[in-house]
Amino acid sequence: MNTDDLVERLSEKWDLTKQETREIVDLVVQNMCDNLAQGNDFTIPELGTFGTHTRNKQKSYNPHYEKYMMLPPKRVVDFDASRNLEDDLKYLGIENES
Amino acid sequence: MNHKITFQELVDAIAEQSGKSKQFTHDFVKDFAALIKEGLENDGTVNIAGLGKFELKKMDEREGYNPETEEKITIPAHNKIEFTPYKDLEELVNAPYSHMEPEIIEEETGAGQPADEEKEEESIEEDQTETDSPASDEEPGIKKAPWEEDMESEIEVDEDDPFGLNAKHKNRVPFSFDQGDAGKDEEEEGPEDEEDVVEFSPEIAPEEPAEKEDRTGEQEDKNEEKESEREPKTAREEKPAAAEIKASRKSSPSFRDRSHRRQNTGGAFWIIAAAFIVLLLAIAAWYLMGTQQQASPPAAASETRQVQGEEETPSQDQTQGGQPEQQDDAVQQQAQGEAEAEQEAAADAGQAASTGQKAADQSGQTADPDAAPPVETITVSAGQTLWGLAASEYENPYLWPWIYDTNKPSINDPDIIYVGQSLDIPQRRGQNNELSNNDSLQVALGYVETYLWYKENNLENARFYLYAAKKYHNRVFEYTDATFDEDDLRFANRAQ
Repeated sequence: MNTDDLVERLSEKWDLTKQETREIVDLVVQNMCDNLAQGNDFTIPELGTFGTHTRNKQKSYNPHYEKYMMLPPKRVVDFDASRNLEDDLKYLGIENES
Repeated sequence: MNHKITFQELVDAIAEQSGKSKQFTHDFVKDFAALIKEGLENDGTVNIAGLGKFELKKMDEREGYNPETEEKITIPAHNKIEFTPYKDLEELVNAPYSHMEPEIIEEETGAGQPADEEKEEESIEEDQTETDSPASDEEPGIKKAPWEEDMESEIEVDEDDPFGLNAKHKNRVPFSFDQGDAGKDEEEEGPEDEEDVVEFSPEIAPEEPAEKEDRTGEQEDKNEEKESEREPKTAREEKPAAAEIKASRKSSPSFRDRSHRRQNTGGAFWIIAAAFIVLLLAIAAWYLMGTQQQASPPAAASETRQVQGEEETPSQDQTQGGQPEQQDDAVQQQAQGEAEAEQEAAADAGQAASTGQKAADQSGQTADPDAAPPVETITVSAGQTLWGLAASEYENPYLWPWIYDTNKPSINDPDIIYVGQSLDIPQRRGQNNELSNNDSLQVALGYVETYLWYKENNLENARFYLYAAKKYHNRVFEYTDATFDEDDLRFANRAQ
């Protein structure tokens, strides 16, 4: 599933044109990104919590240079799926298989 | 540490920007989330442009361990939801640190690290107890070059803890405050960091305590915990400083590492460059020398050559002039008119003797065949042939029968001469190294001898030698008492 599918479904449900829906979806995404960039955490019900944390600088061995590298600290995005979503999907494919 | 905004705040912001009602936006975003869930259920992956990719990842069954009961348990296979942010979002989030790159760490040794480490540990404890660390007191002395100190500490880390797991965290705290003062203006990203901090600080401060409690259980690295502990207690002013310090501290290693690399590679570079320049100079010098040598020798050589040429020509003239005289002395019967006749005869290869001159020729020739020409004795060396000798001596290889005839006693087979054999090379007696009439006759006789030998050995091409003999001297047959095959004689007589 990609954004187009999502937009199509949303536009059907809310009786909007695809373009309008697309604009709103983009706005949602943009707001999420902005908040993440500012270092804010937020939770979307039934989906999960988005956030960021800073990964410390770390030493790692680069086999190509055969030397230790100091990786700089990095700010990375976290996503913690909500409990409901996780539980619902936990054994989804596996139940079918077994 | 992060500011948490509620779902309602997010929705409000979106609603404000989109111009829709809050209720609508609220429901819309909830639907958005529901659709993502649906997409995960159906496809297993959901791509949201600009945000990232949600993916359902299947985890195989594995053995786990219950820390409470200390029992081994099997964790059944299950799905895990993973979110991979798009690159744009990653870069956006990582903007504060985007200027930093991985640096190669050169393994170096530093002295007195253990003491420093203890100091650091102490300072950490003190930091945690909220008092200003001794490091901060010590800092004034260190302030001048914060990065240098960092370097030292970095080196310690390398030695103590090759993987830098423990020492890294220790290092951070003690230096936090000094650098905040000293490094502010020096660091590249100082201003940017400040801006970020300004954004963070007002929002974060109020919520910090509650957040702190939540976090204690979470996996936060030591550093963050310390900071979070410290932040609420210290005044707000300190917080930007601390955050800035943190950022600047983090950025400093990269500078330090860069300087390291520059130093090390720089030395090698200069050595290589120096060697290269020396090499270039050597090549240039060699080239210049070569050109000079090339320029001078040819000039000298040409001069000498000219001199030699001048010297040689007279000598040649002398020898040429001398030889005929000697020959004339040896063969006194020859008159000068005869010499002229000889020249002409030689030019015609013995064929063009005019009737008027025949008398003179005859008078000379009757005595000539026996008159031995001056000889030059040579020793045969490997690879030489009569043909080749004639070519080198007379510039005319066809005169080789003359040599054969002259050395007939010592040469059995005209086609074979032996290394070490000494041969007499008859010298031409005509002017300008041409054959005199006598020489022509002798050459012709040589051809006759060759013909006889070949005829004796039943070689088919013998008659050509008779023909050549006739060619070299028209009346050669008058001077030999040998008997010829009639067919060959007829063939030879065609040469007129």
